[in-house]
Amino acid sequence: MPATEQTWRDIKLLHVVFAVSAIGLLVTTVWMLAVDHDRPWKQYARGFRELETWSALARTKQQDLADYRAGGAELEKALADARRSPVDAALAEEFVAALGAVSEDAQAATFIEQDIRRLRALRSDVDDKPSDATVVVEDERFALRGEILQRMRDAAQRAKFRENLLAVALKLRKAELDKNRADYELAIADEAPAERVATLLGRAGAKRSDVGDATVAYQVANTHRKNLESLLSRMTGAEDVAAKAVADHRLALTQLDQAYQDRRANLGKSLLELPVLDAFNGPLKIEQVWLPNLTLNNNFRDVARFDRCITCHRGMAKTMPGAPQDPAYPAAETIIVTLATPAAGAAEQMMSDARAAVGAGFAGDNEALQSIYGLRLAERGVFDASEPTINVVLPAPATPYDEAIPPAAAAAAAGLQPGDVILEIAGRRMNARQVAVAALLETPGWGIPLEVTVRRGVPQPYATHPRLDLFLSDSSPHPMMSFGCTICHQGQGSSTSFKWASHTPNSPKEAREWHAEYGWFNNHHWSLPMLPDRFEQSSCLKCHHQVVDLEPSEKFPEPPAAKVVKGYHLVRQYGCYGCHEISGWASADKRIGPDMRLSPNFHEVAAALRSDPGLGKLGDEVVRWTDEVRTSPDGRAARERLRDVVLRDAAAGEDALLTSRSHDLAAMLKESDTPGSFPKVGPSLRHVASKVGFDWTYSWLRNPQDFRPSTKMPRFFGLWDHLEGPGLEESMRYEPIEIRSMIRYLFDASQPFDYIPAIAGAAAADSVRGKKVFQLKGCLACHQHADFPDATSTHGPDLSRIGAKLAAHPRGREWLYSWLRNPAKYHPKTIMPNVLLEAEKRADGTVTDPAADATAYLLKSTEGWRPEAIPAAESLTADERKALDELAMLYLKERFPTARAKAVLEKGFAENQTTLRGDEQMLVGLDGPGRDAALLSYVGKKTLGKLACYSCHDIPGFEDAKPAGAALADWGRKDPSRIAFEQVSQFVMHQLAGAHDHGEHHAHGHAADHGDEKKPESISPFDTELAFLVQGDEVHVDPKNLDTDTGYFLEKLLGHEREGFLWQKLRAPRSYDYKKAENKTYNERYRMPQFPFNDSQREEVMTFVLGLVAEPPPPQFVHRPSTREQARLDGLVVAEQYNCRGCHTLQMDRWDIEFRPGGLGEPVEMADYPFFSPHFTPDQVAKSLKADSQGRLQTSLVGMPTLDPETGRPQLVDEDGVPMEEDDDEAIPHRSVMLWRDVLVDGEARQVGGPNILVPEAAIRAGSHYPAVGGDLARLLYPVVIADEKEINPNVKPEDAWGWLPPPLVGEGKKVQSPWLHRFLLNPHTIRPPAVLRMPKFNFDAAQAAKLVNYFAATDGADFPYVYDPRLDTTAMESKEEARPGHLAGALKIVTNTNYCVKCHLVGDYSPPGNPKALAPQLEAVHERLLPGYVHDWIANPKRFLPYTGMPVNIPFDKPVSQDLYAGTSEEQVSAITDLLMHFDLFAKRNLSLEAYLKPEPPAGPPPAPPPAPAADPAEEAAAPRPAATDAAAIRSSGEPRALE
Amino acid sequence: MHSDPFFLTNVAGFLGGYYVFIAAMNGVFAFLLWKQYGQTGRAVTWAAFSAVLMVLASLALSGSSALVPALPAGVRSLVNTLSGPVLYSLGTVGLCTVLFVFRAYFVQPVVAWTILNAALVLMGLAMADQNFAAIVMKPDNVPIVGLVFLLAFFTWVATKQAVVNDERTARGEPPMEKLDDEKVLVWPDLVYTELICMVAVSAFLLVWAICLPAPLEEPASSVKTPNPSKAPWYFLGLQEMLVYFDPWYAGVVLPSFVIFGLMAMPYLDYNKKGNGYYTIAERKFAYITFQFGFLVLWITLIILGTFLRGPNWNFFGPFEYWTPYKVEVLNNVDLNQMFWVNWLDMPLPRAAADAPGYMQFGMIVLRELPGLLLLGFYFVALPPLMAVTVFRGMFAKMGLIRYMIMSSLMLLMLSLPLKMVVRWTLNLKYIVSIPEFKLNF
Repeated sequence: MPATEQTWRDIKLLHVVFAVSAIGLLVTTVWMLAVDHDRPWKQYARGFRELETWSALARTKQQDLADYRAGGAELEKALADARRSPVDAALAEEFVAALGAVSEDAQAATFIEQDIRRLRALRSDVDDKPSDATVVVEDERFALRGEILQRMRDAAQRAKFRENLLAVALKLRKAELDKNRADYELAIADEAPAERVATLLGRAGAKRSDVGDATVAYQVANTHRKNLESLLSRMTGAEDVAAKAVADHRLALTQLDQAYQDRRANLGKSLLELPVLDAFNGPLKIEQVWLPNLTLNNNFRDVARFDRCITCHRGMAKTMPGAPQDPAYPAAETIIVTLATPAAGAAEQMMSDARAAVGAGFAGDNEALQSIYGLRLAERGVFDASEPTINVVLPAPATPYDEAIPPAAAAAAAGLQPGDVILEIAGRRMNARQVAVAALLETPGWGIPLEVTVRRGVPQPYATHPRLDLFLSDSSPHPMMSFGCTICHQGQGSSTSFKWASHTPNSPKEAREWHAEYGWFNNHHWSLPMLPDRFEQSSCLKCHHQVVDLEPSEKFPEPPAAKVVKGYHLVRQYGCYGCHEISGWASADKRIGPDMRLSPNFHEVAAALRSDPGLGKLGDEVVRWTDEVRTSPDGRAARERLRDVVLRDAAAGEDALLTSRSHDLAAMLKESDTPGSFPKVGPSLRHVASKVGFDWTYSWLRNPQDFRPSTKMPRFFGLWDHLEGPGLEESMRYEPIEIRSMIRYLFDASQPFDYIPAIAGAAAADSVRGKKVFQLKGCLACHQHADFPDATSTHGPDLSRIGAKLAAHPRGREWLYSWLRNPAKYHPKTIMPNVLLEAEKRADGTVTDPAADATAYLLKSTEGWRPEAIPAAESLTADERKALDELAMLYLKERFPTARAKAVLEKGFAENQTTLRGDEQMLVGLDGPGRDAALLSYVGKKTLGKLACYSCHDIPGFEDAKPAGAALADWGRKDPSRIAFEQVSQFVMHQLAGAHDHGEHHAHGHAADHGDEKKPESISPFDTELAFLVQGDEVHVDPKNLDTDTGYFLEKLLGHEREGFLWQKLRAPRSYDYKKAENKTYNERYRMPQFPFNDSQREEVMTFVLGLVAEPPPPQFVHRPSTREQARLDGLVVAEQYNCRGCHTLQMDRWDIEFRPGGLGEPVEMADYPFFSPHFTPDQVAKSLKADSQGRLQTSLVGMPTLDPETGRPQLVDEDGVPMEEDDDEAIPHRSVMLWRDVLVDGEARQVGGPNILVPEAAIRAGSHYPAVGGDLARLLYPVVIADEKEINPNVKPEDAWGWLPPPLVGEGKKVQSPWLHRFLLNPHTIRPPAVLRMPKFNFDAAQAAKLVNYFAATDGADFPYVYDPRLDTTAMESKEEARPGHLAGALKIVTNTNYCVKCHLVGDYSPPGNPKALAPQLEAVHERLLPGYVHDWIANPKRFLPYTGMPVNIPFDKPVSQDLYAGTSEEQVSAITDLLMHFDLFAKRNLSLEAYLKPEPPAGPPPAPPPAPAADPAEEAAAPRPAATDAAAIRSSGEPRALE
Repeated sequence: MHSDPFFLTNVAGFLGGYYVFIAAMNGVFAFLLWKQYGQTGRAVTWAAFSAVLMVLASLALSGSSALVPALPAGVRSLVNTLSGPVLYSLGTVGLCTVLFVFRAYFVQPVVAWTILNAALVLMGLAMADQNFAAIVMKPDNVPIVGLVFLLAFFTWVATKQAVVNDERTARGEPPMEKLDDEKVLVWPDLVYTELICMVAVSAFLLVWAICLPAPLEEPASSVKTPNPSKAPWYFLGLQEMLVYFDPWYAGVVLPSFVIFGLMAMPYLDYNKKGNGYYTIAERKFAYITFQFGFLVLWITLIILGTFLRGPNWNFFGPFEYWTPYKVEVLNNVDLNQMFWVNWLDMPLPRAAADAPGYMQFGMIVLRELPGLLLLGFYFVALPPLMAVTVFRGMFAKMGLIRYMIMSSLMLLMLSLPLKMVVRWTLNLKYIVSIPEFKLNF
């Protein structure tokens, strides 16, 4: 077709369409740019800039206050004065002279001279007429003085100028010289004609002399100038100093102002924020922390972490100026303060003054606020301009208690701070600044304090991290630049928007709010969402594998991670690790997390071997090894020998003497490379038939909480809430049979037990005495009993009903007696110690058996409990037999085809059928009368295995059973799609709905038994509908009946997330069988028992389990404590396991208090040995004197609170130290604190051993209190022993009672010698005769004891494991003795003087007469027990170490004891006694002669056995058995004549 | 089968706008009918329909989650039951057949418009179901929904043209395309419109990218693959084939033959008619074969893979919750098993372990004999059989080579639906299964 002008489409229309689409493209492009530019984080960056600007301005204002101005004015005045002071005439003349000497300056010199002359003339005038003309003349003089100085400065300037000119000239000359010299050199090199060389040389010479001249000229000018300047500065020295002071004073303000100017937005910054321009170093930037080593696992490779969290959380690590750990912007909270107001007249006066000074309006109001309250309001709020925000608070002066606080410090005293937003005043809402001003200035009732509600801090995301002591700050263990954020918090660090950062809400309500505000959604695609508040501490476990390192410590008294630590302890106490292996090792050398594996059960294997009838045939030695492994399983030698023997026997085949089971068990005796260290938590059931009867056991297994509501044993049976129909029926029929069968097996398999016989000749057991024994001998450190409600330790079981448990058994009494005498006999690994209850001789001569008494008492403890609804033990009904058969069939069908199983059930096996292995061996002769018993026993063993009872208990036949549950080492990362949620969400929904309307769901009435289904703890609106969908079901839960916790977990459950699974698993583990029970066989059902956790415990356990992620960061980040810290932690684990804290205080109370100056009374002057004088640096003193903005001082007291001797509770006293009556309203309550550490108060030292400090309650409440660690029993028994003693001695001093109770172990490491402590822990003996209870003997192994020893040394900063002190050396003692003959003998005289040591102390075989409660430890043993340094200082002043001690200062430092005993100063005497005590054995030995023994007989054999030490009366023997009376000791005691009396 | 009220309130805004949009669409349609075509009666009907849609919109926007219009639960569960793989596949074949047979009826604008409206409204109602919405509104599935409508539209346009042309041919008139010569000027008719399209499409893509950003999923992991793991949408048809065939066949052989077959088409085509205009009647065989391969074996499988295959590659109805816990019995057996064990009740022929290689091979061949025979019949015996029966005329026109290529390609194509059918009906896994050589068919 030919081309025409005709187009196919209307060209005009095309133009229009094109125009429209082009505009559309433009618009969308701009839109795209805008969307891209408008990133959410920018809003927060701007917000934070606002905040910083506001704060900087507030600080400027705060700085620019009246006192600052006053200070400035003072300095200005000083400067002015300095400027008016006369110039030193001599210097001035010298200056003129120096000036005059130089021709160029001569004229200036003349001018200056003239001026000086005029000034002199004026001065003489002034001296003549001191009239009103003075002022005029003064000014003239001042002007003249200035003029003279100015002329001088000018002259110096000119001199400088000339000097510079000369310097330039010199430089030129030098350059010319260099050129000429080079020319000459080159000419030589070119072999130029001689004359040319000569010319060049001549030129160079001329130049050289030029340079010489110029140098001299320059030096002269330089000297002149320096001279002038030096003279000038000497003349104006005072003036310069004053000027510098003024400049310095201004500097702080200038800097603040500079900071303000830097932060505020300005035009330039706004321009650079524009799109496109912002690419060129725009002021709003994404901030990030780059962490190349803390990588993020991206499946295919590890990538460096980029944490951009601080892009929005910009204030996260900001600190207060000058306080590196105080958050600059704490998170918002509401605080109510009480603001004092002045009296009406004064207030009005101040107001009118202020308005007069500044004028009305806002400025005047603010001035009035400042003088009346000491605060000023900002012109605008930080985030909301209209909010009344305080920006200036006048600091309060340090006002003593008895002085009134001036009005201008009212705000500071009330605790208001700059930045506080006033929300309410006297209950009225303040929504604008004017309203607040009116409320403060116009309407208050003058003289009546105002209640002011303020909001302090800033909202997220601006808030600073609350624990800068632990995180982010440079001085913390986790500085931000090395750790970033997401390694702990998780989440998507590289994201810069709220939703993509994977924030995780802590409640459905929060989720809802976030969704509305930020478009938050649950991003399933990011597998590491941020941890919600409640599980934040889970992350700690990544690096803190030991967990106890997260407990509060000296350095971090505020608990660093209380929740996860509690979870860890719960897991430990409830023995979760028994079924669920928690292995801390990925391989033998790769640590991945907390390690909580069971320790090898060698002792169980040994016990099983011991019961093998063939063992005896292997020889007595083998039996002995077996016993050794059983009682002390940690020793290696016996175990390895035993293993060899058994393995050899196994190899013998047909001729083997042992059973095949024994052979199998031998493998268990092998040593592991990294053995676990956690014990089974339950008691041994190996001899259970010797202890309890059928009825009690039935009731216990059915529901342990029935007998003991506080038990840690979980519940296995009767968990039927989730069952219905046939499934429920099955449970109801089978469970009773299962319980009976378990008992049958346990009793059948129980091994015989040798009861310990009672002490012969003891008085009949008496339960009244027994109660006392129970109370005083330390039982309450671990156990509870209804008779002693104050004892709350849950370390051991509650014994309130123990009688009901044991009395039913014919030999229950004997068992309990044996247990009390020696628990390890029954259970070698029990944590119950042997409390060493030995025969006691009473005052009336009778001998009592405390263990028998305690047994009598405990057997009476029943609280009327008895097992109920227990079936008859012996017979089975037809129904029961049918159920038993069915159960047996279930197990048999797992082993045999159905037909065979039926046959087996019918007949059993023949007796001699030995080929069969496994539990079916038990089914022998089922056609006989023993059928029921055999079947029960078989089913019982199967059931015990199914329910994994062996995980917590030592049960015969289960020595080699494996953990039954899922391993937890990486459960915190378990893929939720691999977790079987079954129908549990329906169950929970039903349950919650049922709980609401009491629906038919609880018809079968078991819900009431569960501690869990109680009402929600806090009912708050559960503001979401997100969760309430049940697939295919009509049930809806009314949200109002759910608390936020339940709501949170319910959502997690419905969302099929780990947290939800775990929550329900811990609440009702069997509920995962809901509607499933019918769909599987009885034995396929879930088996996990229900633990008696309450809501918070459950969450703590979850925090721990969710933290088990097996993802340790690179080794440099994993917490690797120093050797010392490691020793402390290792010791802590042992101490916790054995409950050392139950009796002993390991750490004293600590109060960080804030008090007004003088509030803690005056220090008492203590004259003492110089080495006791406290060491405080000047910095520390200055810090203790520095008042905070509220005018208060701070200090930290460490010590013991004084307890009321009658109640044992902390005592309140009045300001004079007199105990307060309950209804005393007048006195100011104080607490009396016995110091255990020297401390600075008001800049003065308060020392240990001084009088108690009375601390006002208000000071304590203002600060924080960290309670003592441990020592509960001591505090519990304190009033008891006082009351007991009062019966004998009515004048007992309450403080003495501490000496009879378990001692605090603070400072133990510095006190005792490690080897001694180690021995003592393994085999304790009596140290302090008056103590009411003895250190029990624990089943420590040597390694555990060593850990404890190291713990004490490490905690107290002592050397460990070995210690060296020259004073322990014999040579040192010898040389002292040489230098001063009679050194030790003299010391012995002091010791043995009845006025001194032996007045109370036992020494050798000497026991001081008098009150046995006043007896003090054996001195003979000091040399191996205590460290010399400690002994020395202790003798010098015992109260410095043990403030409550009754031991007096025997040798005051200014008053030595009688020179007859030992001639020398106090110091020398103390040293001498120390030397004596530290070498007592040597000293005693030296005075011993063996001749008497050796002469009568020829020296063929060893020395004859010496006669035993003459035993004192049995009571003393019991009270003070020596540490392993050696032969040497025996010889000594008979060889050396003692003449003490 | 409740939808979460929270979900409903979230989706209500979108649905309201959606209904308003359809209502406006129909309003314009009614107006055009009335003004342009003067069909007042029809215009009133469509205006009334538009009003109904406005009612739906107001219900959706009422703010109460209970009032959001939705399909009744019974209908939804019925749809779920009906959309099993067998019914789905056979249903699509049947639907295509019906559409093809009654094409003259379905291409009428009003009918098409009605169908479009029905589809849109149904989709709106279905959208109120959380499970349906979760799949359809996934940002990367949205284009596929659009694609379905686009495909329907283009198919309709082509079919309509073809129907009109066929009618004209029947009347002895030339096809529409011959009526006016479509030669136009490069500028402005071609280049200018292309420029406008470019600008408009750019703007559209920008808006799309702003409003519906590309979804971000989890970091790739070799130990944990997403469940379900899906290929890009255009390969979902291939992925579906993997269910029925060994990977070498479904992933390599069949796709290669698809390309090969498409390339071979011009050389196989002996029909001179239909050049430069739309027609169906004149090229029935070509049309049916292509549409069956494209619509049934490609497009519907993509839709199936996108919307109906869920976790574990299980089949889920459109309103079914994609639970990973759904389990299906997949006890498929090989033909050798069926033949030897089930029918002859004897063990599979197997050579002794130490037998010589030829013996091993022989036993394998014996074991697979039924399958090999079947395959041999299908690929070797069927073409000549067809040549003398159904395709006699075609064979005559094409000659031996072209016919053999055509028939082989067609048999290969048909092997897919056939295999699907035997899998569903007989639980047949492989016809020939030689794992020794990793060779299954």
